[in-house]
This record gives sequence, C-alpha cells and structure tokens, in this order.
Amino acid sequence: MSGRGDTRLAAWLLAPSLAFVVVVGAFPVLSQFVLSLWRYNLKFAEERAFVGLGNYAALVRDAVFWRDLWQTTWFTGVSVSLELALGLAAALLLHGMRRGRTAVTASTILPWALPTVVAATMWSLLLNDRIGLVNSVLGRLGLMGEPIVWLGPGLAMVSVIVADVWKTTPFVAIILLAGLKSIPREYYEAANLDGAGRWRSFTGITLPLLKPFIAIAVLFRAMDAFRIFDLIWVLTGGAGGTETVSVAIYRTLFRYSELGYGSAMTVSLFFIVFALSLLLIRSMKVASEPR
Amino acid sequence: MWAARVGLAVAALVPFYWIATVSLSTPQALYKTPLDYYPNPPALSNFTAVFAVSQFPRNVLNSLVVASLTTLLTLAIGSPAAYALARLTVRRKSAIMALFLGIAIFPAIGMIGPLYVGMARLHLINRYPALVLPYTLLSLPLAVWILTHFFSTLPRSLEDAALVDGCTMTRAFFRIILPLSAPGLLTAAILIFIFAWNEFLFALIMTSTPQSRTVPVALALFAGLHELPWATIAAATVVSVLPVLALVALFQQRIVEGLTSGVER
Repeated sequence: MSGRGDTRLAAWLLAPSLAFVVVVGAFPVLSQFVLSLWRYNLKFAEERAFVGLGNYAALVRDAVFWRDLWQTTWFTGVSVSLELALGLAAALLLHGMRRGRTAVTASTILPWALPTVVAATMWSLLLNDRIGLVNSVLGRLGLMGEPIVWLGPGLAMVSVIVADVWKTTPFVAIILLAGLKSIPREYYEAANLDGAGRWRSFTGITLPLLKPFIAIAVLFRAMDAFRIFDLIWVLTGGAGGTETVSVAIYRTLFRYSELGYGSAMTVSLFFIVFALSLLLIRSMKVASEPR
Repeated sequence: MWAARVGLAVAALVPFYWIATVSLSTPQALYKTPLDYYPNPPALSNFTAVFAVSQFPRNVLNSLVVASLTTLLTLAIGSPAAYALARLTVRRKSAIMALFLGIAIFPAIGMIGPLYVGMARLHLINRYPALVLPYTLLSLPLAVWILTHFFSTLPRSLEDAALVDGCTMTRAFFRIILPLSAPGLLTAAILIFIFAWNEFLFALIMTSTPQSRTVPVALALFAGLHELPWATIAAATVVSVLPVLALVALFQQRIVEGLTSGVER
C-alpha cells in the first residue's frame, strides 16, 4: 500500500499544520529578516531607511551585544553542566529505587512543570536579603555577618543559575532515567562475573551507553538556556550582570522601539542557536556511532 | 543511598515548603528576627486578599481557556501531520521537518512584534486568539515530534487488517489508529497544556488589561500593581501552582513518557 493514493492522503493530512505554520509563522519570521536590513525606529518611523547589512556591521562593533553574548554563553555553559551532573546523579538514584519511586519521581519533576514566573517568585522569596530563608538560615548558623544581597551585582548571575538549575535539572534527570532503563541488566551481570567493580561498570558500561541520551538532554537544554528570558526578567530584570541576548532583544524592540536593530539581534540569535544545535547534533551522531 | 534520595526530594521541595509557609503567615510575621520556619501564627488572610483585591479568578479562567484551546487546536492539526510523517509516503519530507525545526529554533521573542501588529489589525489584542494562535505555532513542533514517535510504535498490521476489510486509509485512521493512540494523544496534550499554562512572554505583550491577563503575567505584575506584601504574592503563587500540582500528581507517568519519547529505542 504505497504510491499515488498514499502520497495524496499524506498531503491532505499534512496540509492543515503546514498551512498554519505558513500563515501564522512565516510572516513574523520572514519580517524579522527583512526588518533587520532597515534602520527603523518606531518613534521616528518617517526616517526609516534601507541600510543593507548595516545593522549587522553595527552589531559586530557593539560592546554591549558582545557582553550580553558572553553572559548568555557563560549562563548556558555553567547551568547546563550543573544540570547534567546533578541530573545524572538524580537519575542514578531514581533508577536504583524499588519502593517509593513514584513519590520521589513526582516530587522531582514538580519544579520542571511550574511556570517559570512562579519558580522565579519562589526563588526571590528564598533569596530576599531581608525576609529570605537562605539569609535567615545562614545567620542562625553564624555564617553571615551583613545580610547577603543575592540578587545584587556580583551574585545575581549565581542566583539566576541556581534557580535555573533547580527548575530544569528534573528534565535532564527524566531523559537520563530513560537511558538507564534501556541498558540491559545482563551487561552488568557479565561485568560483575568478570570481577569489574561498580566504578568500572559505571565508566565502562553506563556512561558509553548513556551518551546519546546525554547528547539529547544537552541539546534541548542548551537551546533553551541560550534563549532564556522570563526567569531573568522576573528575578533581576537583567540587572547586575545578568542581561542575556533575549533580554537585550526585549529591551531594544519594546523599550527603545528599535525594530531594525532588534530584528538584526533576533536573526543573529537564531543563527547562533542553529549553529549550536548543529554542533550538538553532530557530536550526538559521533557519540552514538558503534565502535 | 537513601539519605541521598531523601536529599534529592528535599532539595526539590524546600522552595515549595517556603512559599507555602510565607503564604500562610501574617505579613508582619515575616519581618521577625529570628524568622520562624513555619507559619506562626497561621493565617488565611493572604488568600482572601488575593481574591478580593485582584482579578485573579478571571486570570485563572483565562489561563484555563487559553491552555485548553491551544491543546485542542494543536492536536487537531498536529496529529494528522504526525500520522502522515510516521506512516505514509511524504514528498519533501526533509523540507517539512526542517520547517518544523526552524519554528522550534527561532527565538520566540522576535516573532512577538510582527504577530502583535497582525493581531492588532485583526482586533484580537486582549482576546483569546492572540494567545492561542502563537501558542499553537510554538507547541506544534513538539507535538508532531511526540506523536510521530508514538504512531510509529503502533503495529502496521492494524491498518493492513482494516484495508483487507475494505476500509479506506482515512477510515482506518479515524476508526482504528486514533482510538488506539489515546495514550499518546494524552501525553502530548499534557505537555502542550503545561507549556501554554506557563507561557509568559507572549502573554505579557498580547494583553494589556487586568481582565485579559493570564496567570503568569498577573503574578509577575502583582507586586507593582497593588504594592502587595510578599505574603499575598506568595498566596497568589500557591494558587497558580495548584493546577500544575494536580496534573503532575495525576499524570506523572504520562509526563515522563512524553519527555522521553523519541529518545527511547
């Protein structure tokens, strides 16, 4: 059962969603590409002019853009690494459980399912310098003199990373747990017979077979982390060295009304995330090739 | 090992415990030194304040409607597409996949401006379609991904049997495949619903009146709007967590399946 009728049916089934993507999606995406070639401030709309790649040339020389790009990269690198390490630990702990797994898994995925705004509110309550739980506990233990301003300059990025790690480690843990479940038990039994210890089994069996799962978790997380907006917008508003590219685009488009320049930033972010995902997909392929 | 497992659950739950404590405390009790780590004295006044002062019940209703409509629309157009990709000969398949992937990768923040202009022209600002249409666009790639995976795990003999019985392919889809796919559809539905319930950026820009806001935006703007004490903000946050809490408690297994579909072999 293939051939003409089959292909025609497929076209009919695909038509609604393709039409939807084109009607709702194509216009906003393409207009960003077009706008990025114009000097266009909404407040001075009559002065708009075609500038070709001028916005991109300005972007390359824009120190604030480079700073934000660096802060975004730093945020992505540190938080995804921590999420991977903690997510792996959590997956191993959950995998070894016989009783009570449902309850622990449910409480583990809870942070992931929350609105980011809610997670951000929760963390601003924990980290508040006057009424926050963290400072109170540190004070009681005698570990703190002056109240620590967690969301101020210097520590703001650390706080944002902690909140992000808390919220998204569950996602990594669930993906890696699926990976652990896919490894046949016999492999470990055989290794055990050969006298391999737990560490040896972990580095020799678990890690290599987990690689494709690690790659997928890192791919999804890195793509989201690089475009992060709401957590930072609510926690710090981008102050204290936490402005990422998405927050900068929001500022440029909606505060400064710089449609042209903001669109050039959007298109650049798109290509950076695209390149990042290609890189990760390639490493994923390398990782899952049989040796 | 058990200590580590309990530690894991505690680390995930401490922020929940703290916000519940704050929401049940009197605003004054939060400024005591040293701070009490449980509500002392316990008070429900913050919750009554949330519902008295603000449009919060309306915001909850908005979120429910937007998330439900998004889920229905995404499944209605996404599941036939996924079926075609999983089972039929699709021409220009890689171009279609690239289109979905492109939508998934493009920074959502850049789509808002043009979509706002479009919605404003159609007089849809502050109305449900202004959120439902973009949310459907953004959740479509994930839904197609999950459902394609799900359809391809169903045995092919099902359709073959239907075809032998004289069913058309379309009929086979509606009569046999769709009912059997209920678990996969439910999994996708939960993930779409959670995404739409949680979305913030579009909701912030596409709504401008307190009556039209969804829960996340209402929460984020709460402090500035009413100069409310932290205790009341905490109470509003707790209210907005409850639906998600219920979904996770009821459908934990489905959520895990949805997140891991496509990575399992």
